[in-house]
Amino acid sequence: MIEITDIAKKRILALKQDQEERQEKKVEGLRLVVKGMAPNVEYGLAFVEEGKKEPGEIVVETDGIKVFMEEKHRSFLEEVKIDFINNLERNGFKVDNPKVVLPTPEIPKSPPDLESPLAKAVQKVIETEINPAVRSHGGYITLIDVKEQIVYIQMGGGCQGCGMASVTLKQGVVTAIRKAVPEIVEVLDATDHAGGKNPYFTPGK
Amino acid sequence: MDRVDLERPALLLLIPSESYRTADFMNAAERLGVDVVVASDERQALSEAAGGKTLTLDFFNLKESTEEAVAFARSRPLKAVVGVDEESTLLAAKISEALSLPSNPVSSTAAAKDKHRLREILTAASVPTPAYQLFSIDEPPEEIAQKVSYPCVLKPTFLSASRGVIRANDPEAFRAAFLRLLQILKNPEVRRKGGAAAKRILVERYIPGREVALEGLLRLGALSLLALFDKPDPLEGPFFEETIYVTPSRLSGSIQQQILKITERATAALGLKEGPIHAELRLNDQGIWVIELAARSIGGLCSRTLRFGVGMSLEEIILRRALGIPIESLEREKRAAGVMMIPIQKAGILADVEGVAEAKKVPLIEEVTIMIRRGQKVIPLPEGRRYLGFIFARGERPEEVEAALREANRRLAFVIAPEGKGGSS
Repeated sequence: MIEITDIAKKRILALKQDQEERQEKKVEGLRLVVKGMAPNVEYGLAFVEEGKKEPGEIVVETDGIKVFMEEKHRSFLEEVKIDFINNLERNGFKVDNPKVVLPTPEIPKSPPDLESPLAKAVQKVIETEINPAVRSHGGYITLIDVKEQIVYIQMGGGCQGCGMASVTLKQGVVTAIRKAVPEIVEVLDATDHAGGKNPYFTPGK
Repeated sequence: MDRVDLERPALLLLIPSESYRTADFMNAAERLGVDVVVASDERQALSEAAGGKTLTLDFFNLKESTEEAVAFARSRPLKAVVGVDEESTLLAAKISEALSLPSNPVSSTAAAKDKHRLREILTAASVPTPAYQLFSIDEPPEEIAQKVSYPCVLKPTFLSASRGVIRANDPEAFRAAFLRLLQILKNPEVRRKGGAAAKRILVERYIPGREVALEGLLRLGALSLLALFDKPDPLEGPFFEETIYVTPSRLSGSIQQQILKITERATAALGLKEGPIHAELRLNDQGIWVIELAARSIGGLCSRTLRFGVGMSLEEIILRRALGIPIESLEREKRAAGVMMIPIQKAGILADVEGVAEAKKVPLIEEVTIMIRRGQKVIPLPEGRRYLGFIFARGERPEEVEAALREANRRLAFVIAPEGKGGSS
């Protein structure tokens, strides 16, 4: 269940009022977006105008506040806590997800299930198709877990910290896995990219 | 999103393999739910597995790469083509033109990439810009040194991020600067990128004064202000290393309006019509001067300082414009934000980075991102083209943000060993 702390709730309601007055539009709820899975898991919060629910979205009501999210992220976001931090170090909303540990990888707390048919099918794609290809860049992909049709991987070697890691993941790894194992709904990168020692592409002007 | 629907037009992102912006643009595209094809200048490791979601294009061979992209678009329709960095904007404009997609005219994009052409156009349009002269690298520097006035600034016409930009205050310094720039232009990779432009050196009058950077978005030729950054560190040379950017600007509202007006005149003179622009201007007693104007957004990771509406990134705004998706608000968040590009003080091998945890503890600091890994070579300006990393801060007032960035940077220590010496400094 999504939790919204009291201070976050107060802040949301104040901003909602401000938004409604400024734009003269009725706000129905809050949209919680997963902006990026790799290299850093990032969330976005936005107000949803009345009647502007997007196709593919679900609505979860928490303590009187409607939270809109993509159906595909239901499982990923089901235990998030939305907090508002206001101290010397931080000032802003903070989304904590027990399924994600940052900056270290988001490894599910329960023991990995790598023996299931789904996990074995994914592992096979990684071993036979993905790793032979990324090896040409000194990289490798490790399967961490498969939970509720979501695959958790880590990138290593030349892929860890690589400037093109998100292309490798989103264009390559996700495509290859979903093509071979259509039941998979999402592939999440659990890599600590900041810890990469020898990335294949290092950003520079 | 992960299946190729050949009927559904895709977004073609032209991403240089050494871009800082890859993840931010990929995340923005994912957020918009658009099918993406990534074209890069290096073959992607998983290009075969990607099944038509990646392309390899030579960003400097405009003719052949445009033909390849057009051929690709016959089997995979494209809705928009976006060059994410300086290196890929011109090819993006060429491909867009060939596919009749809304974009800047190719000639305007080319002019914005060519600092000499930029000066010619701005001068002809009476937009305040430094006086300039163009010289061949084959001319003796001693002779050129007698033809220019001082202080002046030497620069290549085609490189970005202050690479190769050197101030000279007298003929002796000019000769030294010229020879140093010559070495940069003789670098095989630089020569390949520059082509004929690598045989020319632009010499401009040095414009003293404080500098600002303007981030804007063009739609049908109309310029919207996205952010105006103060650059509180003096940029007086001999090299022009970027450090701190803080927005909102602390300049008066009327001066900010004048900056926007002059930038509008500059974009109109160039004929830019669509997409992001990044301008750098100097202010002094004589007025407001356009120093740079590029048909791209802010470089490095600096865009991470910007949030619009209730959390939209700059990259999302750029993609929405390109894809014709409505942009609800271009209003930047009310809080102040800033970034510090961590300067490289000396050349060598990065042996260690100390103080990151302490830097992150500074109030208002949101993130400290070190981009260069231990063991990698570090090269300062004017030869270098990388930053050591980026420090990000957000707060109620720009003064606080600037102070936080300086304090965080003060807590960082970079151990740089001489090349070939291995570990310690």
